[in-house]
Parts: sequence; structure tokens; C-alpha cells
Amino acid sequence: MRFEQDTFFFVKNRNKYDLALTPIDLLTSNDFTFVVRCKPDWDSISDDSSTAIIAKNGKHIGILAKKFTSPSDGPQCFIGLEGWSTPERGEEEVSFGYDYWIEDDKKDVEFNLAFVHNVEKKEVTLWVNDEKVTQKYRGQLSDYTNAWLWIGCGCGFSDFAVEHQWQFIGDIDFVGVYKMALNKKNIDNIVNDKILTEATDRKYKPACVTNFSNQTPYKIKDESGMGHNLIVGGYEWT
Amino acid sequence: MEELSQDAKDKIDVRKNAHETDESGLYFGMKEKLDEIGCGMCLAKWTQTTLHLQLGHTHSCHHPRTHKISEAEIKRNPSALHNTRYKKLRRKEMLEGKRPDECDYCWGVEDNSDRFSDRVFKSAESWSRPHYDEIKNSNWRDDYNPRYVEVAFSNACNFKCSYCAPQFSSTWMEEVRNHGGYPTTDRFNDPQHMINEKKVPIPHKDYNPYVDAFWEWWPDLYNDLHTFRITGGEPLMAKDTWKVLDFILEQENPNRNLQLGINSNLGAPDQLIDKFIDKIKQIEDEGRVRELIIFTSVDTVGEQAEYIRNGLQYNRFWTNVNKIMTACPRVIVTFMVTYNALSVPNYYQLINGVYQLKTEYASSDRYWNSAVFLDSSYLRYPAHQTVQVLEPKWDKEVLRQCQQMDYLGVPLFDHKYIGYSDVEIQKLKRLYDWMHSRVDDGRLLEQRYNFGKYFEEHDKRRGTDFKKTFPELADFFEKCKEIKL
Repeated sequence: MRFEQDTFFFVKNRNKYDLALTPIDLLTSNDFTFVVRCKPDWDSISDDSSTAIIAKNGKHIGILAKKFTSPSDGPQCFIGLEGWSTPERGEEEVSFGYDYWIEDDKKDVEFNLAFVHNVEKKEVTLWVNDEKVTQKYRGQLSDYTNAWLWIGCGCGFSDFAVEHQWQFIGDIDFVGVYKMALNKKNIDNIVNDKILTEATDRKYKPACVTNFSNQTPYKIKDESGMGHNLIVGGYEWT
Repeated sequence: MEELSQDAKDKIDVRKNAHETDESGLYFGMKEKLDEIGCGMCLAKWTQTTLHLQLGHTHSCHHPRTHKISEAEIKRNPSALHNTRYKKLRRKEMLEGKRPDECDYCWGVEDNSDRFSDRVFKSAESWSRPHYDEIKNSNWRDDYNPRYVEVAFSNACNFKCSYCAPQFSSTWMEEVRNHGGYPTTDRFNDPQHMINEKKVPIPHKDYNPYVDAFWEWWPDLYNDLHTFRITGGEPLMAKDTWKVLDFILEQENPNRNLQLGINSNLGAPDQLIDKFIDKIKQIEDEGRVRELIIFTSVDTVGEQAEYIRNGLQYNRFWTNVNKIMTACPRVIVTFMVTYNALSVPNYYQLINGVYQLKTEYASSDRYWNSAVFLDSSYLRYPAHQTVQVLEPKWDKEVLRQCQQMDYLGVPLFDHKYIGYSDVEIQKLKRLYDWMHSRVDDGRLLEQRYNFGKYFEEHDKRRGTDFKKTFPELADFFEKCKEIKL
């Protein structure tokens, strides 16, 4: 699905009608994985900007597509992993992250991305196709209990200035949110599954899965059966 | 509404948890006003009536049981169809601060929860609320023209839906006359029940004094009406339905504020359907009513729907819905579903079908741009056909249906968005919750026994084949048939 400026979706922590089998407000307090298949439109993403592919708002946590200008080499593209943690009780929250540099000859490539959180090891891993980087963090992840999950932006509330919404430009054709730390084999199984049988298998503890094939003017269907449809942003309900 | 005190506003906030819809404090304000008169006060006893003219029965609000209308009273005063002596005595109790026993449903809600009861909701309706002062200052002996009238002229009906009864269907009456009641433990639809309850319908070809009284009262009633809804039987088979439509068409000064609702199974012969469409189109085109709603019924899709509602031709039904929507761009169609055990396997498809109608006929000509609504009410009686009788594995399917409605729903409850509304989704969710509140094992066993007995006999009498029509429930049916009490 093509994401232009102003195309973004959100998933609320709890279903309005109590139809979600697994709430996602405490998602980041435990093991979880975001899996995304996407192709950023690097030419359309503004220089020196961050855009969010999938993220929880607030002190954001998720996967970003970023573009920064280097004085020597000009604009450079990155897939970013970002988040925040509280090292010790009473201490200031600190950010952590990693920017995976996209070489010029890979700018036209579709990426299978995964953000894996392992709460016991206190580490987050970013998979970019077959490569991975792992970051340790201190303490515990920040409290995202009241944050919404956004796809195609970092925070789409209407009272939030557009330049701070981090709207993504490009294509996203798969999003999966899982309540476990998936390994590479799991991720491959999921992201290569065109008919979503594997991607929605309960053994992976799915919370929200879509390949954007079922949609209404307002929603993208969550195919996991967990009841977390993606709701289109930019209307009066955000 | 008066400015509320902070204390009252705080109370509203507390009650909002139970009644998320009371955003303006409408219900809280109405409850206070009703309680000023008395703790049993309810405007619906004056403003609303359902008239079962084929039985000569009435009630105001659907919770109290119906009571017999006196033939002697209506001879002197046709408005006694509604203003019965019995009802006036209940009004007296209300005005004197008492709680009528027949309204025990509401007292149960009020005494056992912090929720508003239906007396508050019904009194706050637009057909009740404006008449508060007039009613408060009235004498209990006064006659009062209701604003919301539901009327059944006869039980003439070409369908005999599996959960219906002879009082509401002449074809059911014919069947039980020939074969008697069903061999369930409660002798479902045994004619003796009607005789015991004095609810034997007057055959539609016979003289009916209640219908006569209605027509005598009608010219006086018509201009006061906010909502008039014709039920049945099948209204298109009742000559009085046509008389109502013609009356509206002939008026020099029609009641243009009227909300007209007509129930129909849309299974009448083509010429009747076409005649019906012509008349409602003319009423609509000439702006003779404020709103026209067709209430129709179907409980699932295809052959399974035809089995549940005996007489239904599903494809023809769907064609007729499309015919109406095409010919009458302002008419609203509401599907009144009696969601029962047999609806469960394929209701998902009906949800998708109705959504397609919503999108196909969406139009800003209507206040609610969605032209079609799906009202999923759950069957409570007969108990052997409710969703509670099924095995728990079916819960998941109903949840899937709720989730599908949510997916096809609008994120914000507003007339301009097309899709399922909060009300439609919550109704199905309530059904799902109710399905969970299982009955005790003894009663469940009896209900399943009755399920087996009922549909075994149904297949014999009507030449149907349950197992072929409902392969998903075939094993369950067999198990039910093997139950020994």
C-alpha cells in the first residue's frame, strides 16, 4: 500500500467494543516484535528528516526511515531503531537506538524489517533483511501504556504539528505485531507468507497482522483475529 | 434543560460509566423530572402504545404484559384502544408516586444496578419528552392521544417463521389447527396456550371491533402522531395497511412530521410489492411524512434463512430490498434480525451483504447517509432456539462476526459516515455477552432436548431437511435428538 503524506493509521490499545482478545497497552513491557515489509520512497522523504514506519507515540519507540545530509557525502538514508528507557528509578529517561545505513545501490530495495524486544536480556534487535544489530538498554523501557501504535507516522494526533508527526512516504505491504520475541526463522516464515496463514498462527502470539488487502474507507482489517483493526488517521477521530 | 448543579454534574460523570451515551445529561435530567412526580413515573404509559388489534390487546411499553381491551369501552370511546380503564389505573398509581407492579422490569433494573431503566429512556424520547408538563398536570382519568403507536391489524401472514406463533401468523394458525402443538416439553405453540391466555386471534376475514374502533379514532389520532408503525402479521396482506397509505396520500394537509414505519417480510406477491413501492414513493416524493422506514426481517443468508423463516425466498427478498432502495432514495430499510441458534453459522455473510447495501445506496439525501441498518436482536423465546442452546465452540464464530462488524464500522458515530454504527455493533456484542451467560445444566439439557424434538417434527410437518440445510449443526442436532429426560 502506498503511503503518501497524510496517509497513516493507528491502533488503539483497547477495542472500543471490547472485541480485542489481547490488549496492546502493555505490549512494550514484555517481549514483542514488530515485523514490516516496506519500501521507503527515499527521493520523496525530505532531507534531514525522520519518518516513522511503525512506532508507539510519546517518547517514541519503533522503526524509522531517516534521511540526513552529510557535509561530505550529501543526503544519506537510514533505517532507524529507536526507543527510550528509564535506567534506574528516579533517573531521567534516556534514548537508545541505531541507524542502519542504506547504501546507494540498495535504495530501490524492498526491506523486511523487524524490531525485536527481549525483556529478559534487556535488548532490542533490528533486522534489516538478513542483517541484524542488537542494542542493550539499561533499566526498563519507558511507560508506553497510554501511547497508541501508529503505522506510517510517529504520532498523528490532530493537535500535533505536521512537521512533528514524522509521516512516512513509500510503500508498506505487511505489518505484524507479535507478543513474543521472534527469531530470524520465525520472522522469515511470517514475512514470506503471502496468504497470512503462518503470519497469523497463534504460536507467534499475533496481536495485529495485515497485508492491507482488506480495507474500508476508514479501516484496514486485522487478519490476526485479535480485533486490532488499523484505523485511518487524519480525520476528526484523531 | 435547567442548569445542573455541580453535584448533579458529578453524578452524571459517575453514571456515564454505566451509560456512555448520556453525554448531554439528558437521561439524568429526565430521571430527576420523573422522580419529582413519583418514583414510578413513566411518560410512555401515556405517549406510547402497541395495539394488537387481531387479539384485542394493548400495552404501553413492551415490558408489561399485554392486557385485554374492553369491547364495551371502545364502543363508547374508540381511544380506549389505548386509554383502557386498566391503563388509567396504572397512570393513577404513577401520578400518586407508586410503582405499578406490571412495570417490574424497570424496578428490577433500578433496584439492582446504578443504570437508568427503560422508563427513563422512553420518557426521554422525542415522542415523550416534550409532553412532560402536559402529562404531569393531567388527571389520570383523562384520555390521552399517544405519540408513538405501533399497530397490528391482523395476523394474516404468508410466513411461519420457526420462532413465531399463531397469534402473529395465520399460516402458523393453520398448521397448529391441523397438527397441534410441537412435542417439546412446553408444547410449543399448542393452541390451548392461546385459549388459556385469551389470545386467540380474530381471523382476518371476520369482523373485528377493534379494527373498527381504530378507524373511528384514526382521524383524531393522526395529527398528534410522532411515529406510526404498522406490524403484523404481514402488513402488506392487511387491507388496513393500504387504507393507512391511501389516507396519507389523500390528505390535503398531511402530518409532515410523521415518522412512518412499516414492517414487511417482503415476500408478498410481486404485484403487491410493486404497488407498495409506488405508494411509498409517492408519499416520499410529495414529502407527506418526515421519514419512512421499512422494517424487514432476515436472520442469516440463503437456504438457512429460508429454513428459519418458512415462506421466505431469499433471492427474491434481496431483489425486493434492492427494488425499494433504487425506487425510493430517501427511504431507510432496517433489517430486524431475530438472531437465533440457526443464525450463527453464516451470519458473517449477512453482515457483509448488508454492508454492501450500505455502500451501494449511501446518499446524503438521508439524514443517516447509510441507507440500511442491521438490528441484531437476540431471540429469547422459544428457549430451545436461542444461541445459548449451542455448544460453546460457536462463541468464537459470534466474536468473529462482532469483529467483522467492527471492521466494517465507522470510527465515529456520525450520520455522514457509511458503515456499521456504534448501536449496530454494540447490539451484536451484547448478544455475544449474553451467549456467554449460560443457563444451568438442567435447563440446558431440556432446551437441547426440545431443540431436537422441535426440528425433528418441523422436518416431518414441513418437508424440510435440517441436516442438509445446516451441515454445520448436523452432529449437534443428532446429539440433541438422543437426549432422554
